[in-house]
Amino acid sequence: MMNVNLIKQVELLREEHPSLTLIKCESGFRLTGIVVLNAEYNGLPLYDEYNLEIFVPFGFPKAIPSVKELENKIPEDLSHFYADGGLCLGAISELADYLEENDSLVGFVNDIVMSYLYTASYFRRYGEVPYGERSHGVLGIEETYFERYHTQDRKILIQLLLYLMGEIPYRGHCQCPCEGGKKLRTCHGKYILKDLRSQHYEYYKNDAMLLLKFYVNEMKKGGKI
Amino acid sequence: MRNKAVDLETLAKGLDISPTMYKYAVDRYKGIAAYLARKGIEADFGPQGSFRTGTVVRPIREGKESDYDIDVVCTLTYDKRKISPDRVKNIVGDALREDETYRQKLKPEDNRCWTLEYAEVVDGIGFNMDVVPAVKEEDARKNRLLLSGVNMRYAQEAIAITDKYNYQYKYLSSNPSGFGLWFDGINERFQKINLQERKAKVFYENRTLFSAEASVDDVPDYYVRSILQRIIQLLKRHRDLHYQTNKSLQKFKPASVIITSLAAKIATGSDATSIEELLRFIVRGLNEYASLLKGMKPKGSFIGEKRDFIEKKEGKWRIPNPVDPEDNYADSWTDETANAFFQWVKTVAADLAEPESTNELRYITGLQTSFGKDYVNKKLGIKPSTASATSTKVIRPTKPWGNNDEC
Repeated sequence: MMNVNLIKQVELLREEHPSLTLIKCESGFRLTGIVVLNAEYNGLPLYDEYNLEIFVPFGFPKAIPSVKELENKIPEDLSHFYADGGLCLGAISELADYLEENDSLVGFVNDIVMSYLYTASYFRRYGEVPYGERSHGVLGIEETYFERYHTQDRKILIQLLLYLMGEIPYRGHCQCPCEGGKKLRTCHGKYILKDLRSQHYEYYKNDAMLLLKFYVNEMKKGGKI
Repeated sequence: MRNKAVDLETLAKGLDISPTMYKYAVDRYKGIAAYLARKGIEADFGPQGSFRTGTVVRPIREGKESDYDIDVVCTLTYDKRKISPDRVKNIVGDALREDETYRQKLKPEDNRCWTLEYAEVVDGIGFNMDVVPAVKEEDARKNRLLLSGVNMRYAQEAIAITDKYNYQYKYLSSNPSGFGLWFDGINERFQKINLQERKAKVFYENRTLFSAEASVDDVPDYYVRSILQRIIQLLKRHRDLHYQTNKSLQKFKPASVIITSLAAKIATGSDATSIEELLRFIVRGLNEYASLLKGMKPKGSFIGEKRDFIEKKEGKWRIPNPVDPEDNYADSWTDETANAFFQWVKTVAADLAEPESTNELRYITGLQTSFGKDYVNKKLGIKPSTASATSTKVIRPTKPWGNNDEC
């Protein structure tokens, strides 16, 4: 069944970025055309134009849109791309978080996509990124989960991820793995519970799987956790 | 659509020292000369650097407009061979300290100058006047300059300034006046463009600066700015903002004299009569030297053209001082410095030198990126309520992530 709300959202996006043309395909809408970056950060305004292809899955906002840039205008050495050329707009969990709070497609493009384009334009000018970047690969995911679950300890993170994946059933009254002496629900458990209940749970779970797989490989290589 | 030439002129003028402040500064150094003369110290005072070439730009420090820096040479009439550099420096310093007014304005000794602080001269803006003690250069040195191909008129202006390092003073060769004459020679053609009109503007905007009987013809040339001078001012402010955007760039900031001398040298090949046209010509000219980064000399437009404004020989970058070929402005340059320089030139090209665009949003934002949003809005009277300003979104930063391992 066609999501009426999504059609409205796509139309709103085209009002905001009139040069986007719309194609409906099997699993979502494909919007192609020039998106104007006219934004400022820290008082520095930047103007630029990017030819983008924005794919909005029918499952939006539960499913996260993806974006490609079509004219190779984004410097390659910025290297925030997926292997298929899609833009790594941010850590998946952060994109999911955004959509958790704002289910607007216009918002997603104007905030998340623009933030990425601003980074690209800034990088082209100054050879640096304006507000930091995540590490590449799994370490970038780990960084976001360290922040997300308020710990810097890999062992605690692994425990928390096992709860997230359902490998250990979540019980609020159990001891928190951080050994702070509190119960899970009044300690780190509250962050896990939020993700367990989220409509984007599958994304978080996927991250957790990648991370745990990575840790297992590290251990096999003889590395310490 | 806005008039780009008018906007660029307005923006450059806003960076410049006003005729009132210029006159105030000149009166001050003439006052110092008279004071020294009363103490039996004969000295010629004259402007140097951007104050001399008419390319002063109001400094911006940590995003804030600050007081102007004005350089003045104080050439004592002593024979260089008969006086030590520390005497030259301290004759001036001691004399200034003996006067209550100067003593209060005097800052701690600088390596090469004595700085007098004139706070809040006009509209709350002041200036720091760097008085650089010097003596005339020896004939042997002037002859060497002549032999290296420097024009006699410039060579004879050579002076020796003093430099203090680790409590030791030494002489350094310098030639601000020769540089000024060299610059004037190139600027002359551009100065003639609409000169009367420009003078009339200065005259009527600064009527009180001139006597009641004075007319437009009495406006001296040094109050008037050519399109070349305006462009140098714009390039300098663009550089200031560009290089202070992030810390890793700051150490590569090119000296003003590099911008001034290269812009002037490139301008000699142009027959442009408008600020936009000349700006495009200069930026393109600078950009051509970027091929040096790849080990290639820039292509000449005719066979045998020297193309030596910037050189890279045996791994060393070189931008010669036009009035002293032994002096290399790029002495401290590494490939990184050069890389940052040409990267900067590219951003100037993108921000300012693109051909006429009918996209006003792009145009205005380009100016704001170049010269600062608040400054541009203030000088060009752009109200935050106009379309171009409100549609500028403030970024909500999301850190991009590189997933090249997984996907």
